[in-house]
Amino acid sequence: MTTMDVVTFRPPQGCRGEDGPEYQGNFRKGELRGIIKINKDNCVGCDTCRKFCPVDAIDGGLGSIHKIRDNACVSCGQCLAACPFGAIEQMSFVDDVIKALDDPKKFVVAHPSPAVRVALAEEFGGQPGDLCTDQMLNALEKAGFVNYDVNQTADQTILEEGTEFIKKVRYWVLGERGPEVDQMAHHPLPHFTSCCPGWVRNMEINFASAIPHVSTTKSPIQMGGSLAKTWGAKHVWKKDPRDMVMVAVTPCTAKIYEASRPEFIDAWKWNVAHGEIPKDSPVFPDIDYSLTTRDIAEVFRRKGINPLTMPKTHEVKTMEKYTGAGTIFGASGGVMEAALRTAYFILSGKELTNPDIISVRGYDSALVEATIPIPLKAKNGEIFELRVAVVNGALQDLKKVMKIINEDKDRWHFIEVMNCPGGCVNGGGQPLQGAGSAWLAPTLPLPVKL
Amino acid sequence: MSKYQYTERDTDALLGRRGFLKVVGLCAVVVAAAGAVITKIVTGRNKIILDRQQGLYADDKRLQKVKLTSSHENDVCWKVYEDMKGKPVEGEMYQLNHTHYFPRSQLAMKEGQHV
Repeated sequence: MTTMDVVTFRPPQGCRGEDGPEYQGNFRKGELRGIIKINKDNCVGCDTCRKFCPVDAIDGGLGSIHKIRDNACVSCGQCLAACPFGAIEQMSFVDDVIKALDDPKKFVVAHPSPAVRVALAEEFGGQPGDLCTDQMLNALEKAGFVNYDVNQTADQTILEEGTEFIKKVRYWVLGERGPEVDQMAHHPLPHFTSCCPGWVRNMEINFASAIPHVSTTKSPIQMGGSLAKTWGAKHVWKKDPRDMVMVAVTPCTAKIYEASRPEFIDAWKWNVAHGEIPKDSPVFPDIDYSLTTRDIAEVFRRKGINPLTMPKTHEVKTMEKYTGAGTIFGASGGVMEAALRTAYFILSGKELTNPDIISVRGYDSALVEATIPIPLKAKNGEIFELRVAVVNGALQDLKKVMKIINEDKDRWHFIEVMNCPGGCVNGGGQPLQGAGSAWLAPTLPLPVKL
Repeated sequence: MSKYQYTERDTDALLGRRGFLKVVGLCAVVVAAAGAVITKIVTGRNKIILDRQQGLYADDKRLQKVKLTSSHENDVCWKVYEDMKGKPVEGEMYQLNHTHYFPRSQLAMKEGQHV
């Protein structure tokens, strides 16, 4: 299947606000701004992008040249996917990654997300949904990367976030008190997921009252960044973290922003505190570069690699082992389902008889609600009705959900929010198909917004 | 008994009755075919989302067969806590695996005061 081209640009001078004040607009120093940009020479004023923007960050009207307000933009890239004229461009770090790959002193780690493996084939003539995990890992190795699968850090995320959620349930629902659960006094239910960087920035800008409710767990990619340069460097690869270059390979343009957030230097802090590196070592970020699915395809093309001609078998190494729960993170409702599988096990003491919790899967409905009965081990099998919701696309039902929460905080215990309709598989960094795909309901050509 | 024979009356119109039917018929075919193609494209617009989701659920099914269904069955993740001598959501693992957020309307305040 042929895909549409997206124009990319290299990060321009000053895009991190490096010479500016501590904060500028609502960006802190170091945070990337202008990741998604409308090329005013190519914009014809069709107004499509404005209708798909989940945060109303685009100025303009029918017939006029449109412009993105960086302070409002969450860099999700849905406008870019929807633009029928290819007028919207994306910041790209392909050149920097190629340079790192060509440097023999650098240890370059690829960190590929779940949704990349079902879309990468499209860039090389495959069909949407063609699963090419083994070929992708082989191609990454051939290009000079060492793999650390995001699916594995997704599992790690579930261990962290699942534990966190269970502590919240123990504190707020079961009424337990004690040193183990008291930290949750500051983190009330309902519990929001924190994996989606578009949602996190949207929440910080527009729904800041939700901050205590959002899981403190990092997204799988950021967790991978800090673990790779601490645990990975010390116990697995035996490398100096200063020589490591972490390259996240994601379906997402908002991850480019997330990687630039200045607080994500935890690996550097840990290494300094443990004396692994000298105290005066220059600060390095947990994730050095973030590439989209389209960008990694470009890296492969420049290196003369076609992943679809690579062998279809791959020996699973330590850093590539993952479970089904990790892989479904890329679909809407997947984080919820993965968390429920582990939460059910911990709360009830036994595995789910059928691990496919189809009632929480987003598929193509904008808001999914479900009730999951869990027999509590601590209360001799008394049934706890866990109420969950999945927001499938921030444009459609996020505002409604936030309004309900403000009125009735007990409506749900656990809420997953995905900025893009369908989840990460439909992210702004995925290969673009001609028919456009930024909208769930196929029979509505455009969402109505006047 | 005379043989019935029908001949069209001469007309001043651009098209005769049969010619008119032919043109209208062809137009109808063109409109219907174009409509069918457009409908197919529009209703197939979200197919790529569903196809990619199906790809991930197929991967899930493959892993369920080899007893890797839930995250707590991934021994490598537990090895992280063993090697780093920690537990989920506690101490050093909290510092490495957790973060905090900033209300963007209050960036002028010192960061340490936020949750």
